[in-house]
Amino acid sequence: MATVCSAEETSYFDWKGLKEYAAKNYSDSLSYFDMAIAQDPGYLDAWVHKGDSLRALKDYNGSIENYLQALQRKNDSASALSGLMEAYAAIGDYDNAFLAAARLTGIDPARKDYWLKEGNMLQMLGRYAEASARYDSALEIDRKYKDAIYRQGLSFLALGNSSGALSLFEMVIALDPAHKLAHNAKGLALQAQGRYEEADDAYREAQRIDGGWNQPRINQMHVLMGLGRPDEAMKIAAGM
Amino acid sequence: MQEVLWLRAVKLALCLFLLISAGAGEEAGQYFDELGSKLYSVRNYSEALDLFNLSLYYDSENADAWVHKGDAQKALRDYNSSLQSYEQAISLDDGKASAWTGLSDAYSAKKDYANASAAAEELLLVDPRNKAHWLRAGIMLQMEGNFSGAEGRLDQALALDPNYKDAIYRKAVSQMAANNSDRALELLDQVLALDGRYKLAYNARGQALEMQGRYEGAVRAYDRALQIDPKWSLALNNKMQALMAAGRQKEAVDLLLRL
Repeated sequence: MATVCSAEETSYFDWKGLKEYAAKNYSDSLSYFDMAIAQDPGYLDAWVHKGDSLRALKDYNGSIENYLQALQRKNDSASALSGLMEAYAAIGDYDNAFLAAARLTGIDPARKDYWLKEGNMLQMLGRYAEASARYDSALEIDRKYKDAIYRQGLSFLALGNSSGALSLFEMVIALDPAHKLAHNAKGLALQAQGRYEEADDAYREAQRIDGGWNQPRINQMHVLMGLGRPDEAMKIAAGM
Repeated sequence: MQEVLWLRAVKLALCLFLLISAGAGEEAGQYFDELGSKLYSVRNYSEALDLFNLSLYYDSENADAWVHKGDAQKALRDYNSSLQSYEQAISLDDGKASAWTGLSDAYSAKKDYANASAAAEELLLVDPRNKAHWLRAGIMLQMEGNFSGAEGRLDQALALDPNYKDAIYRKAVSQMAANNSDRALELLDQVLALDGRYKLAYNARGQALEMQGRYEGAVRAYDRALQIDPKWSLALNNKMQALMAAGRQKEAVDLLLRL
């Protein structure tokens, strides 16, 4: 009876912590997760949730420790590995972030988002060709997975295949015409081919979608310089 | 929360006390204006605004309080209200430079550069010996895209101070707009000789070099800007563009992923 009550209390503390977390009261949520862990150090979810709260508070090293604690208890915990990957990425340790992501795809290769994450970490390491293979795996699961198509386009661009990249960015735009990143990247691919007028159109479209986003505005400034329209380019520069 | 309520209660009590003891409206107005300015200086704009309103309740003829109210509204991004406040100040004293400055800034924040420019021109009539007013007028003309008109204003600023680096920098921008990147580079070097940490000049140097097709030089110029401010997104984005133009796609995408 006492054991049953204790288990109930542990999950209650974890649940309370999650409620605080959902309300973005991250510091308050920590005390509940600590209570759950104190009551039952084997309660995996509380370790993961504590890691998530610490990550939200930007205590990345603390969050990594907690995810590792969770993994000691269950070494194929997808939520712990996912959190671990994000925490490593947040501190710029992409080697370890990639290792965590690779373990995720090993655990569940049917998950397209795991392949995407692994690819993204490889891109952050500058390993574009390897990343490309991971995006292929994601696209085998869902060929309309626009995030993977977009990232595949970036790999192609990095590898000097601007026409391949352009086709992929256009594919993303066909799936989601408001995908501002794809319009911006389409501009870069067109620019790489010297098609400045079309690049200008792509950057304008990205700005139309998000008027507060500076990146396409800056890119447009460069394309206008390339078009020999320095007065228009400098009008943008003057406002920066 | 309770602490804030207590603080507000104490403030209110103080205000009521002063309201009774200050007597004369003008003095009370002056007092609240000064108190509001103190809060404004510590970026407590909402409470500063309350005090400026209180000040104007006692003395609606205080042009300074209208300017300060406009400043607080501008800080709170209520640009239309701030314009009205500055206009009130100007209607009381059309020689008040701070009101014209505020008006110009508020229009600029609304991207209404024609009116921002018109306000900046008024400043020149108020105090033509102030180099900052000429610079402002030049910048506002640049924002409108009138780069040749801006040159005249910037020259006036430089007549008052030949080493005015902000004006030299802005002249370089006008030269680039006129497709004269050689002259722009000379001017930017002049700025950097005056101030080796002027990041805008390194950034503009990169742009001028790009105009000449000197992409590797542009990358180096952007790197210099980034040595001063490593997280400056404008220079990072510009460097990404220069790398792309230099055929260094991989490095360009490396940077793009971090923007």
